[in-house]
Amino acid sequence: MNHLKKSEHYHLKGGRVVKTTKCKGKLFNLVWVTSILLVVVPAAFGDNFPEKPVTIVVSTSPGGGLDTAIRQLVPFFEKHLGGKLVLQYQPGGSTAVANTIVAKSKPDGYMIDAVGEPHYQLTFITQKVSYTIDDLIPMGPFSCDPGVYRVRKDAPWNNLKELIDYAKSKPPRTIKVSVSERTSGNYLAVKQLEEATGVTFNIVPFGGGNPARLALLGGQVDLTNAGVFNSLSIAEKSKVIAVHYQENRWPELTDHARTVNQQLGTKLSNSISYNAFWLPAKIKTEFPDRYKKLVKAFHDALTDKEYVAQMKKLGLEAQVVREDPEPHDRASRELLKELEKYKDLLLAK
Amino acid sequence: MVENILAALPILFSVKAILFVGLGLIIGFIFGALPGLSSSNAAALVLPMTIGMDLDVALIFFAGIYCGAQYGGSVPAILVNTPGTPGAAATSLDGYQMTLRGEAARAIGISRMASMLGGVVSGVIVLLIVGPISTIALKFGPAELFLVAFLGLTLISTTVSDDTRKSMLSAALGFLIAAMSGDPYYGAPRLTFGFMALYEGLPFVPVLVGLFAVTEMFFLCRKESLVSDTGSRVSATLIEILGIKGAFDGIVDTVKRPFLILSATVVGLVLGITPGIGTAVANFVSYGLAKGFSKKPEQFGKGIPEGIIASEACDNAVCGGAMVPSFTLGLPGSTMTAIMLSAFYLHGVLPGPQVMVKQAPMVYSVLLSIILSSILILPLGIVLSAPLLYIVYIKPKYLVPIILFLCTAGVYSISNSMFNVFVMFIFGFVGLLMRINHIPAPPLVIALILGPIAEQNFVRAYLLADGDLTYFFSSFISIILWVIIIAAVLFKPLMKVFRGVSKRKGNPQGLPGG
Repeated sequence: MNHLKKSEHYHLKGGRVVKTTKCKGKLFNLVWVTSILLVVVPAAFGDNFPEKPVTIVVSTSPGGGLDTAIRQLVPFFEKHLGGKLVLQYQPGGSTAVANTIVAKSKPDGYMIDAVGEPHYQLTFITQKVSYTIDDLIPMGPFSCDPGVYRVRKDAPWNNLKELIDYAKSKPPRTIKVSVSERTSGNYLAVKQLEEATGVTFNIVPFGGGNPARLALLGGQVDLTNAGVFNSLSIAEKSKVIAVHYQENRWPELTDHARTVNQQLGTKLSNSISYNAFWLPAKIKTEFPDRYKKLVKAFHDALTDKEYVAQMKKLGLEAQVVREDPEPHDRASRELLKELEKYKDLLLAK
Repeated sequence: MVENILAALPILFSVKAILFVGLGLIIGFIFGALPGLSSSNAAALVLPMTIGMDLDVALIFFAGIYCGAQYGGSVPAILVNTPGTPGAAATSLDGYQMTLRGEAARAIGISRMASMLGGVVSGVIVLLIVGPISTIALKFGPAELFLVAFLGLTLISTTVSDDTRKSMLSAALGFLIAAMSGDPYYGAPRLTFGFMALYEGLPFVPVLVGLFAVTEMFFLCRKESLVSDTGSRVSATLIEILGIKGAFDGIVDTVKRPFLILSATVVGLVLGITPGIGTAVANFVSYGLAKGFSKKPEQFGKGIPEGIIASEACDNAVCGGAMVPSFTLGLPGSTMTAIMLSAFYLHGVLPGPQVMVKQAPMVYSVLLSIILSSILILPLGIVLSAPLLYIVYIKPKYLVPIILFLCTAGVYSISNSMFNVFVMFIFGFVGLLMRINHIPAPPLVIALILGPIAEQNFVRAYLLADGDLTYFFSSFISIILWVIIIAAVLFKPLMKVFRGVSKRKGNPQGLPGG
């Protein structure tokens, strides 16, 4: 019996070896079929995206305005996407570092570029970048910040008109203005104001929004151009004297100031910055469903009642914007064309 | 103020808050001890988790991380000359020398006690005068910031190393490297060699890790053992092994020098309030001052407790100082405080001056938590660093690859880029060349941080003044800074003359003193 068993066992073992070889062949087929299915089926029916955390590449340092705005949105974005989002900070190159990383990444939807505008467009003009405007497509903006002019609370001017009249009565460059950077939207805005009024300011870039606002409070400058919402932290010690936008939609937050154009009779274009998400452009052709899913989740998050309530609690509900990708793409390209007119001004030595 | 402190006490002394202080300290310690990573990396990582907490608990959590990392960074700096955080670079100058002498436990004990005292004293000062000093940060305009940077460089070049000429050489190299960036006014790239990553300047942490840690490995790998007398391990008692004896020695060494603690704390506090300066500079300034005013400056850098105390007390004093502009003005001076303010937004509170009015108990509870965290560094620090003391007994042939691996991983993970890793190794080699030629590394490190601050603020001040250079003398703070700068430059020669005179006085024959 024993002997028989043994031989059986042996035989079985031998059989198993043969079987395994056969199995390999079947397995191989199985892998083949599965991989074909994996490629074809998702394209036809949508896959389980996201199967791993999606990375948001942030073009500024942690703790900045962009980072904070993203953090506020992330829980709701995750809720509607049904997956995790992780933030990766890649400041540098005036947003070019983050843009390059995402533009050159695999367009599988696992990399999102978070960048401010018009900074994004200005980078094309002021930097030598290795990507083009066609390499990235927007998912849309998620927050906006229109420009305002702020002076210290104890300043003698109650509106921009008074300040401009004062500046005209004094030698040029008497009024000192702080802006974040020389390649930023607020520098351009002040330059446009100069052009329209004939006044010459002493415009000093402070390397960031925070230092620029600090300089106003510290008395180093007389005027600053900043965002409505970004500058709320200095609202108690300063006052808004003009809104650089077509209308003042935020009277409570801006000391009921009138717009630049209302006060001066000028025809200046809007000064407004956005924070937006971008994706590698090829995702639209290679993973169209993931693109749709990401965009939908993002837009659902922006309209999520809880998110809106949270922003309302901060008094920042007006900061939230929503725009579909296609119109935003068109607007972004138009802005780039518009800004290219100022190329000489931005790069002037 | 008293009522606010009283209202803050129940917030801090809740089970939850104390738990998060402890947890924060541990997380901070680990991130601080890992080369390349620091408190801001830890804070960015835990920020999403704090959404579910109350804001005060979240901030207390961050305060714990901050304090833990400040202390944690000193441990690898002392043990293997690898600063875990930028601030710990100054600590390694004397700490590592003590380790080589077989006094690692004592050096860490000193660092721990100095961290604790620096944190507590600065926390108490900030607690008492946070209101009145809230506007100090505003007084530091571009002209003043330029002078602070100028002062820092002067102090470091004249005091940290004994050879002023070689220090200046090192600082000049640092300036040259710092110039590899976008121009601060036009934004045009300079010396970036087409590397986009250089546009915002060379990443600082990889340079630091390269110059200190990687360079050290070249020397360490030639040794049989890290500590000169490994034999003592055999006879060591349990108390010694656990570092309890070292902790005790450290306490004694530290409390014997109350004036040094106080001066280091004040330096840390003032430079902590000043936006954008950071711990690396503050600690070196404190170290330089301690050496300048010491009766035995020649012993600095050879492993004396004063060197560690000056750096570490200042390191943790910066924590308290950094809270001032963040809470009172809503203006962060560093990445760490920026993340703390980001937590405000996530909890539906707008940071700014109104926070001190509307949320005063919360602000005071965070300041109190800094004091509590600092006190807890003492017991928790012993537990956390005791196992690390064994590092000094690992044979260099195993230790060197482990440290190089940790450095590479840490530096890579700052921004997931190999660029940082290459920078680290290049500077490891640069550090080797410098060390062979006896050129000190700290001036280069400081010039790398202060170069951009000095340049940007000089350009701003120059623009603000429309080219009128008297602008640099126009405020009370600038005048004070100028006086200190001139004193720093003349201090050494004057001391020499003074010593010469006093020696001659004590020498009746009138023979030249040796």
